[in-house]
Amino acid sequence: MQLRRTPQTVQVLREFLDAPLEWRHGYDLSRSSGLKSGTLYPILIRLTENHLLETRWEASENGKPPRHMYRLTQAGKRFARECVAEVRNIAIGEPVFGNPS
Amino acid sequence: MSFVRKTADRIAGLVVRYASPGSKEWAQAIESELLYIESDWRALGWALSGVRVLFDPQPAPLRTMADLDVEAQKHAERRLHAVNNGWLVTNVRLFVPLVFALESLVDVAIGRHILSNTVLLLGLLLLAPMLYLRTREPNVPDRDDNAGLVRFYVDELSAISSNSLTFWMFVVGALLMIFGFELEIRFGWESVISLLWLLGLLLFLAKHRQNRRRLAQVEALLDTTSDSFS
Repeated sequence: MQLRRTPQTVQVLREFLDAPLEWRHGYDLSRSSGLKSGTLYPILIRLTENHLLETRWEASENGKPPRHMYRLTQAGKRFARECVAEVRNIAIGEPVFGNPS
Repeated sequence: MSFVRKTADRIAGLVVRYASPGSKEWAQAIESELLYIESDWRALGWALSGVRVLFDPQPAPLRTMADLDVEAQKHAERRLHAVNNGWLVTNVRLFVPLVFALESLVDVAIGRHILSNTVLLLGLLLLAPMLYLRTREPNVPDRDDNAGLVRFYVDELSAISSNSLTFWMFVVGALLMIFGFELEIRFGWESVISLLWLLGLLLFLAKHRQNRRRLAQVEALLDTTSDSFS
């Protein structure tokens, strides 16, 4: 899978894992992850291209335009758990002030 | 509606209008979110940040195997068209560097601008393998052979989008050629030629990136399809 596991990507995946069954929209993800739209959307595009994310347009009732919603696919959930665990392992394994010798 | 909100709407509209085929839906998603952001300044920040989508061109999405078949057919037709153009049209891109190479060789032989012409010749030499590969006649499968066409498409995409030695030779060669040319002219309107070459190189790199993305899309689609069959 040609997907760079950048800290921002892992951050987005972590947000999705918080509520893996829920459909999320861009602004909600942006607020919870602290990422701007210009950073968030390229990540969402890459995740969708790799079939890790499913998307749909949700119609609004009060005359507002439909919203683009996102949710992890089964493969996406596996990948997200892998990434988050990997980052956690690295964080646990790495000493804060260099190697103890 | 405030001026700030109007500006945000206008910016988001422009992003939707000029987004690449693969980013269009995403630009629309950014635009549609605007109405759900209550603060005008936050909406402006959201729209301004979304401009980045314009600088990240994406090829049109490939969602199904049928999309891939159509794309492979189109690619095969383009390649066949290139073959049918004949030797002269296919190899015309070799003539410009060849003329420059001959001119530089003559200049070196008569001892004029030796340093700049040597750099230019070195650059042209590094360009040669890529130019040769790009002008080679492809072995395009039959139109009815869908699997063969997809394989041909994937093979060609892999070859032209890999960061191989030939690719890096081409990039370094083009930069050396531009540098050599600049060394020779120093000032004046001829600098425009170097700028045009630089622009050409940037377009080549953008196309290379686009090809890499297309290959990633194709591989992801093939992976998903094989997963669903297994």
